[in-house]
Amino acid sequence: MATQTDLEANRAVRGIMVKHWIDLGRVSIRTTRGVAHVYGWLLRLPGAESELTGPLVQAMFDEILRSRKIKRVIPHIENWTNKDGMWRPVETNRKRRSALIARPGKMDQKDGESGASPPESSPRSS
Amino acid sequence: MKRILCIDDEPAVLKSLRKALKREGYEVLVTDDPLEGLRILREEERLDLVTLDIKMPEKNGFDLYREMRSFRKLPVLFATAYPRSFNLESESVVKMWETEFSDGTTDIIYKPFDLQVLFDKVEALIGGPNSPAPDASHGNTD
Repeated sequence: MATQTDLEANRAVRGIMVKHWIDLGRVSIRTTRGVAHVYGWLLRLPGAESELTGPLVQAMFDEILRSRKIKRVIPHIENWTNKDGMWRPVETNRKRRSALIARPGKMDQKDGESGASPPESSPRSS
Repeated sequence: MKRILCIDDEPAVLKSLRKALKREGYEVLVTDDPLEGLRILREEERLDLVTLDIKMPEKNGFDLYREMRSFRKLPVLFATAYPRSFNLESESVVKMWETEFSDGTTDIIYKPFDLQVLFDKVEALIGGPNSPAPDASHGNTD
């Protein structure tokens, strides 16, 4: 169960992501006792002036770590990987994305509406 | 018990949201009329979260959000099937993003979504159905 402090930490992480123009619909955040888990896809909003880069991803996580409410950040990011301290983009796995769309138990879209790609739906955080 | 208002012009979506969130233990109010939603927001003191569609015939979800924020600051979860609604080529979206989203009390979920994602996002915004009420007035904590 999330505590008030956890919720404030979630807010802080979300606020930093907003500052970096991250599409919140592609990520989920869960903080427990100061440990923030970030799940999903790190993508900038459509129409952003520039794409994310490794140093920008690093800067964002550094900023999250500087937040008083956050002791540690554990990223579970689908489209970025951290190797040797450097963030690098990951090739899109279309098969996995297709599986996400086909999974049962989702709310229906309105007729004629289409989701964005990638990913087509919000990420699962567990 | 945490109380959630769901505003969406699609009755089927409202039905699913109500069923799912009630099953999780939240109290749920629903309306398919954004103007009715605004009335509820003005009159119902005990609300913890609003889930808000964007494309609605009577009133755009963004307009409703901005109007709501002028008199009440509640956590909001935009639920939309149009990810490009948040396009930064629109000056009004940029302004809203910079001024209203920056406190971290607003989130987005894209339809179609897994119900577990919905529950995760709701819990990350307001906590579980019986957790203490969050104080959204603090805004960004840093």
